[in-house]
Amino acid sequence: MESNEVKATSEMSDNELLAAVKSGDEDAFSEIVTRHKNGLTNYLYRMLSDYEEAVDLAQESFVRVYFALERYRADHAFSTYLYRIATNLAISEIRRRKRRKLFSLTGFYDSGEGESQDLDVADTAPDPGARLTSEERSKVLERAIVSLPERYRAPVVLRDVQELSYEQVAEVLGLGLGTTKSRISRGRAMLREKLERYMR
Amino acid sequence: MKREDMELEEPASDLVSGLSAMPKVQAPMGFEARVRARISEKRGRSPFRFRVVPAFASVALVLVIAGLFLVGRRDRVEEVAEVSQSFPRVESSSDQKPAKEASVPSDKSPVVREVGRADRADGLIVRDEGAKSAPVVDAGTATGGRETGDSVRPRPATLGAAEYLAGLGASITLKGGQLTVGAVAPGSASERSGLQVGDVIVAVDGIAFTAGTVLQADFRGRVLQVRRPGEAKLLLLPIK
Repeated sequence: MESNEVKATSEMSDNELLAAVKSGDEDAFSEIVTRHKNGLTNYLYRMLSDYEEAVDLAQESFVRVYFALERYRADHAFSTYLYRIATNLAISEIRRRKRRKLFSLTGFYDSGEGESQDLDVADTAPDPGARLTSEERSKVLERAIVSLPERYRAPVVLRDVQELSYEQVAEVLGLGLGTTKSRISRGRAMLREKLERYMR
Repeated sequence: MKREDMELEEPASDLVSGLSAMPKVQAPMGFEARVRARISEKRGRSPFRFRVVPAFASVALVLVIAGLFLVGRRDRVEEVAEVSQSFPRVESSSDQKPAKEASVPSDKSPVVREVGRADRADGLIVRDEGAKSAPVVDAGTATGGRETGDSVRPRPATLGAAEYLAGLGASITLKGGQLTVGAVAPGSASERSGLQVGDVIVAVDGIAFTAGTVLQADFRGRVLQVRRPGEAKLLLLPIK
């Protein structure tokens, strides 16, 4: 490609697109949104287990990115910047719900962690001996994730659902790599514990 | 994968695989349009214009400020023409001396004297009684000034500062209490004398030149004392 040829927006990197947005290219921002909307919506859905809320926060994340463009520096990957905004929004929503006590899961709070809830779906549980279908397994997992304390939920979802690297997860959460791995490990352990109790 | 990562992954591999295999939800149709609409709502503008209006608003603001500035300057220049009328009259010392006339004996040949500065300073006019006098034309004289035959040259009119300089082909603005030359007409007495735009007229013949100064409308031979930007000393500009 010659240096003076104009790149199609679909061929531009995220940072190139953002530079174009700063110059007033509206199509470049649309491309950014198109590129990341599904991953972001999925992440927020796994964090909140509420599709409408996930869509709303995903849109809000892009709006905030737009208005913070002047301050954005292309030191890191744009996706980690976007996920950081989304994570903060999700955590705010989680805390807001907690204050309003809108959790659908019943149970008691684990005072040791301060935030965890038991996964209580015994009333609708199938025969424990029966093999779960993949759909049922996903639903169980989904509920298990939502029952995790927020400090473990985000790292697990980012790593295991969104499949970000450990370094990227650390960057999104603003944590050290060791702390990030520790939380992922602890989160997985809690999930496993909940699933095992569910399966008993 | 690093060893520590492998150790982290192995015990939970079944769980991890289950998590990664969860169906991925997608954003709904019209997601991008909704994002644009939210951006526009936040900006308080119609959709699809992310950055155009602020740029136009900035340009419009600059034009409005420039227009106000120019209108203000024009009003100030017009104000100068009224300065001499509105200020209390402060008569210069030369006004107090009426023009004197001295006669020359007729048996002597007509004396042609170059009227010098000294003569004019006290209003003395030297003329030959028998000779016809050429009419004296004073630029900017409001009343009289033309001599006829043996008649005494009438006293020149008095002019305020703006009118005085207008007679010399210069216009002044009152800036910071100082009379600053705003324009010099080509070919005028001001231009011949070396007066320049931006000069501040400090005195005329040593008499402080203010907005309230009133002078006789006889320009020739007088000397303007001028402060010119960039010059350390006052300049003396004889009116030519």
